[in-house]
Amino acid sequence: MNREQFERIANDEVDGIATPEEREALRAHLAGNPEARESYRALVEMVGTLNQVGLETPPPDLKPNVLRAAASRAKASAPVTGDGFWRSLFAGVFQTVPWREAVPFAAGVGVGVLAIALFSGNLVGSSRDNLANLRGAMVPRDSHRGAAPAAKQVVAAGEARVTVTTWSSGSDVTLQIEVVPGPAEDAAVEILGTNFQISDLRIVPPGAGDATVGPTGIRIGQRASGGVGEYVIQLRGEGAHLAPLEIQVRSGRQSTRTEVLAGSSGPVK
Amino acid sequence: MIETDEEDLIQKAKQGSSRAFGVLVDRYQRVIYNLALRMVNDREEAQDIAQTVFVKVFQNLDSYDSSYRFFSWIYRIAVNESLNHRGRRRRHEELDPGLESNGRRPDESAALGEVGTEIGCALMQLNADYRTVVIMRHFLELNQAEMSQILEVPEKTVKSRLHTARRLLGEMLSRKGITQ
Repeated sequence: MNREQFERIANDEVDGIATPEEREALRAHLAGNPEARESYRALVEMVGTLNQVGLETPPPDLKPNVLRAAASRAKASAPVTGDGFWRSLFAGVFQTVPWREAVPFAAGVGVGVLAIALFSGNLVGSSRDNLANLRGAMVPRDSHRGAAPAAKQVVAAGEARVTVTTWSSGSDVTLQIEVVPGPAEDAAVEILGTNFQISDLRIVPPGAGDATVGPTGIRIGQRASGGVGEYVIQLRGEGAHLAPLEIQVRSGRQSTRTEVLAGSSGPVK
Repeated sequence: MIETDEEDLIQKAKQGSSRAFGVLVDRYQRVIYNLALRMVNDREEAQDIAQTVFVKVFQNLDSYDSSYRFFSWIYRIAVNESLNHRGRRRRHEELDPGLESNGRRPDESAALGEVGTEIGCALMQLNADYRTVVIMRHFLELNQAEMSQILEVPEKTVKSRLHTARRLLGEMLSRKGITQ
């Protein structure tokens, strides 16, 4: 057995693909050749060392970032109609920039685009059109009213205050989002999550603002002049109450991001 | 069973189901992230690469030919993206020689463990062809036929690269005292 044959068969043996004949030839070669024995031992040790190094767990934000970026691409490639103008503009911000570079970029551009959209009137429109593609059984409205909320959290950004209250029942989650914009700054709220379907959405009073539904969640926009707006959103999905919802509030140049867990509601009063 | 399930997920993702696409991401994110991590030896870059890979997969699902195995397709995208990323970084380093070669903080090196760190550094000394086959064989546990399909080179070439890569890597690890 020459050196080349030895290397090939030795590598095949550590890969588990040597034939019985090759294995026998290798054994015979090693028995009479201390140098080959040492080479083979080193190869086996090196392969063993490589195999010891396990796989690392990916960063927890990899999947959410991927889904967000993919959703932005999907929105950007969708046909633009009616009040979708501002949404496609916003989505385009994330189109080709890696997420870490996109964050400061989007913070500046996103606020600018949002402001233009708000003042041009594109953000405020009929929310009914946005519900056309909703699926799932409708959760009776106001079913949450008699129960103690599962969670309540206030998120502030600039002059805007957003109170998020959640109720849950089985796989249904009700979100009540009260948006109090600042006197001079419009407010935008994004609720991100993918493990649920939106089964109902309404705005009180009608016309106070607008909410749009996308593949990664819901986006709410409310003008400063619209006063206080209440958005009641009902979600349905197995385990929806166990997965955190990511809430982002923007007002002017300020932005706050937090997580809200719907949790379990108290008993009906 | 798994492949049938995967075909179903791919079809749903093609039709715009973010849930189905999310399941595919769940299924592949660990291996794609680790492939990128071993190719570039930097966690942040690996995360960027993995994200780019999945977005490209999402965007090009319509062009995916189901007569090929899905993992071959996604791994090929990941290998190419890692190599392109590495090329861009190298050009950047040439412009800014002050950058560290592996971009890793000392605390990250400690967390990886000495052996893992030394292997990561040794892999970076190999040329891209050799590094790729070592990673595919020993970290992704692919066989030579699968590697041949992903890299679009004959099995004989895969085998030759793997044997040479092991010999070079063995010499490096021996000099570093990782192996005898």
